[in-house]
Amino acid sequence: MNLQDLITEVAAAGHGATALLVHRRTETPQAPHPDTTGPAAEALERFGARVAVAWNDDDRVFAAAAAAAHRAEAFAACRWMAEALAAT
Amino acid sequence: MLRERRGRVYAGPIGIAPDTAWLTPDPLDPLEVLARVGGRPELQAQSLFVGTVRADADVREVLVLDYEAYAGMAEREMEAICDEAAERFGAVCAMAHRTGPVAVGEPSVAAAVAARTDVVALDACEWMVDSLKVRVPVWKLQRFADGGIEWWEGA
Repeated sequence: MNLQDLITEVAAAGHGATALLVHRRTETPQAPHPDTTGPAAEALERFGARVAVAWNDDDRVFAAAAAAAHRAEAFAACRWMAEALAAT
Repeated sequence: MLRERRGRVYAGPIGIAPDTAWLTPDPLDPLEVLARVGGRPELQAQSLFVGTVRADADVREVLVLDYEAYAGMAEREMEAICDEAAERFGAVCAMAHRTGPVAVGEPSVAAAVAARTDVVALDACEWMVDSLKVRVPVWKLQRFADGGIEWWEGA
């Protein structure tokens, strides 16, 4: 999992604020990975944020990045994606 | 001690706690800031904020932002914010801010947190950036494509 690639992917939208969350799971992740298309589309609609998600199952890590025009929206979108992933 | 840096950084003792809070005239690597909060396996969540120079400010096209800071005071205040966040949220914190000219698309500020939960990590990081914006003596000169300039107080 390349965090710089994740940041670059969401920052490509040209927004000025990017929030990133890296979560290390204690439990073994379930496969396959959840489809985050729905939560990502909702993050765009709710917060105007571009989001991206990556997994590293070997290390039991997932990361969610969100870029938006303002930091409040970026953090809100990142929280939104974290909640969506935590539910999986 | 007066220390000259690219982009005119004002007088003051520089180098306070560079491991957790620092100004830099060099390109900022947000993942380096994130790395400063690593190494605590019990803190399962890490958050990172990256502020990037945008091409537009309202309707005017921006070419570059030129950051100036009262270096000693700025780094002391950034360190204080990290300490307060650590105590308030039970987290490990770090932040860095660029000085000098920063082109569109380049990061100007980064803040990182390691905490026990996702919520705390994101809350602490947002609190740090909000605090930085109002407490840290950093100013930016916006240089526009139309030739205009405009000063802004606050990072």
